[in-house]
Amino acid sequence: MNSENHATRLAQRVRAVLDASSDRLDDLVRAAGLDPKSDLRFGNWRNLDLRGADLRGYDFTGADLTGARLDGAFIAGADFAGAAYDEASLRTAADYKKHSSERSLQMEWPDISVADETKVEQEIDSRLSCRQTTLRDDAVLTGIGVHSGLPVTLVIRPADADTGIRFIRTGMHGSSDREIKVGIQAITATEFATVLGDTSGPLVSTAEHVLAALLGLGVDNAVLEIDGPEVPIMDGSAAAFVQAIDQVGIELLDAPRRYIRVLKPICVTVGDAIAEFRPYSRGFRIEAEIAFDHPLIGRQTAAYDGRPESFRRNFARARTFGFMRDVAKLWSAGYALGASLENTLVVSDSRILNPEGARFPNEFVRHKVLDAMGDLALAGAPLLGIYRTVRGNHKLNHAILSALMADSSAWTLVEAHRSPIRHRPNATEITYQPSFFATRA
Amino acid sequence: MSLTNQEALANAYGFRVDWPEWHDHAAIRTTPADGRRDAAVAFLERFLASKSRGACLTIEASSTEKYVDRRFANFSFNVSGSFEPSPQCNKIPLVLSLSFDRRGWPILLDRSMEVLTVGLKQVDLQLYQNSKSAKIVPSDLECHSDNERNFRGSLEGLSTWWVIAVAASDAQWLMGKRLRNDGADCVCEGFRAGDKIRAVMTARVSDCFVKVTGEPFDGASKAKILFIEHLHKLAVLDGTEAVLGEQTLTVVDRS
Repeated sequence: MNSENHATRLAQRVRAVLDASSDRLDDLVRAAGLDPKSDLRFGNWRNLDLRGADLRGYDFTGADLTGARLDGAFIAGADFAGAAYDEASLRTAADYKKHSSERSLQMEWPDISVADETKVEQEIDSRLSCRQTTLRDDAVLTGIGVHSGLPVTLVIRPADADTGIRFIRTGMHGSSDREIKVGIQAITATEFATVLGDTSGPLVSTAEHVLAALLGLGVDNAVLEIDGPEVPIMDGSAAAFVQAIDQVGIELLDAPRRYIRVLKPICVTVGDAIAEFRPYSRGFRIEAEIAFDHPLIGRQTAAYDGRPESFRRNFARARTFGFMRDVAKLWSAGYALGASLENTLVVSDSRILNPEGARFPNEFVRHKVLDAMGDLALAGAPLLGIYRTVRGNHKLNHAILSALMADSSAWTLVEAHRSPIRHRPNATEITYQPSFFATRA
Repeated sequence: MSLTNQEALANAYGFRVDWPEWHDHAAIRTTPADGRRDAAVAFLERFLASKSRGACLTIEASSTEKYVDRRFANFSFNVSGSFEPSPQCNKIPLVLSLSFDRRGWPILLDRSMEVLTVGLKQVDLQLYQNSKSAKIVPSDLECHSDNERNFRGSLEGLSTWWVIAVAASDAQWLMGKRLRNDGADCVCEGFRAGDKIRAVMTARVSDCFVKVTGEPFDGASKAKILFIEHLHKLAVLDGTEAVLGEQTLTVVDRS
């Protein structure tokens, strides 16, 4: 369309708006011939009187609706993603209940890069599904704690819906078993590992790898019974936990799954380390970057796209790593007493000391992604958002999770009832291509 | 890569195509540390890196494609004027020129001689790169707030992304020019010949400002005026969000 036509069309629209008998937004949209599914996004609709308006199916993505009155309006099917609005006003809409139940269905699901229909359905059932999951049977693992060096047995047991992930510490000499629910409130230390506990003190250390396995495979409910102070380190990765869970299988429960959806950007910096949450329309994603002044590591990046298969193949096997130069310091502080080449990727000034070498060219950053997954599992529900971290560590992961949770306007809990599939695109690989429109709130 | 080419490379660079590492980069290696071998992915990385060593790299900038109007908002990245490509240097400094029309985008409405002017309060400028091993180190853009110019660029997010906004809070929209041919608004490190960087400037209707001169809609309600302003923003951006301009930067070897 040439500019003259553009101007003529604009003039016609303006005239139609001025001539409209009503001031209500839906009437003006009709008068101007706008498409409510696309033309109102990012608009300024502050303080508008929308009482009684029919806004069904409207797309208000990124719009400013603060101060707008919605008493008696119809908003079912309207999209308020990234919009600024007063929840109290939304509640006054005539069909708020219908809208809020639909809101959980408006989640855009992560990409499914599996061409085969059967596999797609399996993916949906096992993870994207709207239903909560647990294990089919007990999974048992024995090993030693990487910091304590003590032998320990971990039994991952099935649990009912809405149990979440819980640790039960048994074998407490002279005292009864203690139980904690995994959540941000349970973090007691983050120095070299994630330590969980309660008001009575620390309960279980180095929880991150098993929590990453549970999150990565989409297990919502489990009771982790442990007879020592530290989760067994196994081979330093989450591979053993994944294998144990895979062996017993995952069972779907009847209850709907809940997600924490990130609504606005949250950023935390500590020195030159950065962590950031942003809304993400395609589900869950982690992007990590590390930069070590070491010839074998240097700068590495990795991205996890939220799929269990990607987790199994690309991240579950990445091992914890350490520098030979730090060993004496760690030992003197009482850490890493159980560390060995069997469970840690050890780097000297010039080479990897493990005879088998690295499992991936960028195993170091992959392990950072694994650690981040374990730490984000402490949110208490799977996240829908993108998490980016540069030079991150447990402390930073917990700091940003705390910052997110502390800002109630930055997230919302959404519940899935069915599993509508919005995307079924072609396979995409996990390259980092930041998207302006996807990441800006 | 064809088997013939793989074998030719193998002969030239001392590996064998039947090594498991060559086919599976995730293979758990069983050879002793001193006999460890590169996987195909790692080998290609090293091979390309070695090719880049000794190259005199610089960047060729295409002209900026404009999708809205070059007078409204324009930008271009160029290699810093004082930069001399050399084999020792793998850091290429880029400078950014910006221009925003002082008058905004006036729209003459109908035949009634009513004028509404759309201006930009903010735009986003982001650099995308296709190289995993390279990085772009950006700096904040200095603040200009005077009669001639009015903008500043702050870094946002973890990728190379500037939010360019009005510098003075009392100003209505971005205006003026920033023409630079030397210095470094960002430094490209670790790129190889053939790598591409895409620069994209974008805006949304929420980034626009509409100035209404006089009282052209006498008696119209606030709701209608808000709506008419939205119509003007839509008309200028041709939608609720728009790419204002786009430029491709290609790393080339000048040796």
